[in-house]
Amino acid sequence: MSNQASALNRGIKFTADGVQNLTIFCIFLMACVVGFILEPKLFFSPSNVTSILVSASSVIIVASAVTLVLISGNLNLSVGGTGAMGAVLFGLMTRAGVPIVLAALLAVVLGLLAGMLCGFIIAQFKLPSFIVSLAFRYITRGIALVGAGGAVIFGLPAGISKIGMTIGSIPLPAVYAIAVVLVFVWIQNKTVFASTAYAVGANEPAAHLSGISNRKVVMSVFAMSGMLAAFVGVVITSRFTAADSGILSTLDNDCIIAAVLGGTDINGGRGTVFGMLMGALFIVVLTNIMNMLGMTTYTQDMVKGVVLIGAILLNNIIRKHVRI
Amino acid sequence: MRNNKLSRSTQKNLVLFVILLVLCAFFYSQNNRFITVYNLTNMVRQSLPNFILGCGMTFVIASGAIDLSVGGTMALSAMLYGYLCIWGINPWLAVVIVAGFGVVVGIFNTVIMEKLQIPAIMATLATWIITAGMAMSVCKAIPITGPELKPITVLNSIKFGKIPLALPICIVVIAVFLFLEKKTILGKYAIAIGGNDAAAHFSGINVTKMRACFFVLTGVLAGLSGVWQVARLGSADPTIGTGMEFKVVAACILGGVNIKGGEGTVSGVMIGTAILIVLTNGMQMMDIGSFYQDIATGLVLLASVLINSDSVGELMGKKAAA
Repeated sequence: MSNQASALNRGIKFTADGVQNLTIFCIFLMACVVGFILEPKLFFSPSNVTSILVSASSVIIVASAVTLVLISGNLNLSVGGTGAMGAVLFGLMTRAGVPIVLAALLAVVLGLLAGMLCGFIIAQFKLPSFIVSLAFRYITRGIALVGAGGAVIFGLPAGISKIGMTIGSIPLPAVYAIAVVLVFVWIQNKTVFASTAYAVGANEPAAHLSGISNRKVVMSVFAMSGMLAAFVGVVITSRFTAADSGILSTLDNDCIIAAVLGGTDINGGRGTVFGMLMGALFIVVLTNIMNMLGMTTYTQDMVKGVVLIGAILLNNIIRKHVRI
Repeated sequence: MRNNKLSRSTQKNLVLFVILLVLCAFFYSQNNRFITVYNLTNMVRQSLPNFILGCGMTFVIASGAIDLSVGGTMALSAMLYGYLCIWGINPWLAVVIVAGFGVVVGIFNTVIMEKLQIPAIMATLATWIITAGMAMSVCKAIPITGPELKPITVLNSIKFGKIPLALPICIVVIAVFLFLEKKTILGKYAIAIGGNDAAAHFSGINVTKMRACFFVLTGVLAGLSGVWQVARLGSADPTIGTGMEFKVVAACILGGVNIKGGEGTVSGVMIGTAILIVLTNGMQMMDIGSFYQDIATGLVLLASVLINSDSVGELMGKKAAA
């Protein structure tokens, strides 16, 4: 089959990642076309496009790092909790009078430290990431709930809304998302660090024998995902001018789903940040279309579950036929 | 080697049991109402789903898979049971139908995992999203109540002396699973498949069939757990399964099941479940806010995997030797 594929492309050989990216990109485009046909006036209107970008921004920002976590052969179930923890700590600090920028920085650094600790425990004691990040999910969400008394912190200084505001018609969260994705596409394609992450994810003993430090890779990817999760928490807090301890409750799953839709292998060693971006955008466009059709969020969940199965099937088929 | 391994799991279980006893002693010293028949039976009544799902999940995780769909299945089963009762079907027949629904979910999980070659975690994540979404959408997120749901609540209120029905149910289910684990091929095959599924396949084990068995077991238990929650609450609530999957998985890991498969005992998981429940209940009795319970759960989980991990054991062994 790979011969046919290359003949089809007249000598241009696509890697499996390339085919996957192309496929999810085409699916995304088709979804856009469907949306356009359903609501020709509304779908590409600036307000709808910005709303799509804003609702995708949290997932895109965090999943950029989570894609690297998955590539390194690990799972991170703690990003939602870390995001809520970042939001609540940011809220508490600004309410206590800490300068806004300093509070935001501290919250992000604490998220980074939580992620780093999680990665350290996983790599140092050779424990499964599923279970360590599950423990961190409970701990970070617990800290958020305790900090906010199980509710929402109001009465934050008005100045914090600057972090997540909309300038003209451009919402800052979308700008952050684009910036983060660009940085991570660069990291994934151009840095040695990303290559070590692929190596660790594909074959950890081999990577170890080639002198790659598993601990450094795992700690870095988890630290990045913790940092970005806390950052998203800060951005959401500034948009609501309230720190909610219950936010981002489905972020862990959403990030994994976006990455897997984009061709990332849950077992590690494969995946691209660009694919994740397309996956995340596709999910949001799909949600947008389902909203237009008047489906409830619960029905939408069911559709997403079916889409997830379909996407993994497609990935399996592509990987079976394109062996590069 | 074999004996060595067995003694290791027994050792782990003993350590866990001591932790459980220490926790109980601590909570008793803080509030002497902790160890009363009323509180203990209440704990069993509240956590029956955790215990019985833990039994099924032990096999699933020991065989190298995972079932994240139990929470969603529980919720959807509760809704199904509620509607069956309202449609006028005999409440006891409805229990059987719900159990049949659990079988269907288990087979669905097996088909997407084994036939479509999708990793268990993604396959059951999809089932989880689908079932939880279905549960919420059939009732538009409003719990179903009604006089038709009354007959089943007798399960919750019936008592033998001071002992509620939940305790015998729990003991019977655990006994059945201990039997399945020790005396039937199910337990041995689960460990074999979890250790190396290709090797298990080549030694003549029908891996797909065994996986179907394990997923059907958790599916049925999740269905019955949903019915139990209806019996306890008197209404069919679509949110009863929220967070259940991770609580059960956490109890399994705490109980010494290897998340990568190939290791795990039902007795260990039962002690692990009991630890998590005693922790929650004890903290409630001490008047510690429910928000600290999440932190405590996370810390206990982390501590237990650290204690049970090989590298820490080696480290401590080295220190002891030096």
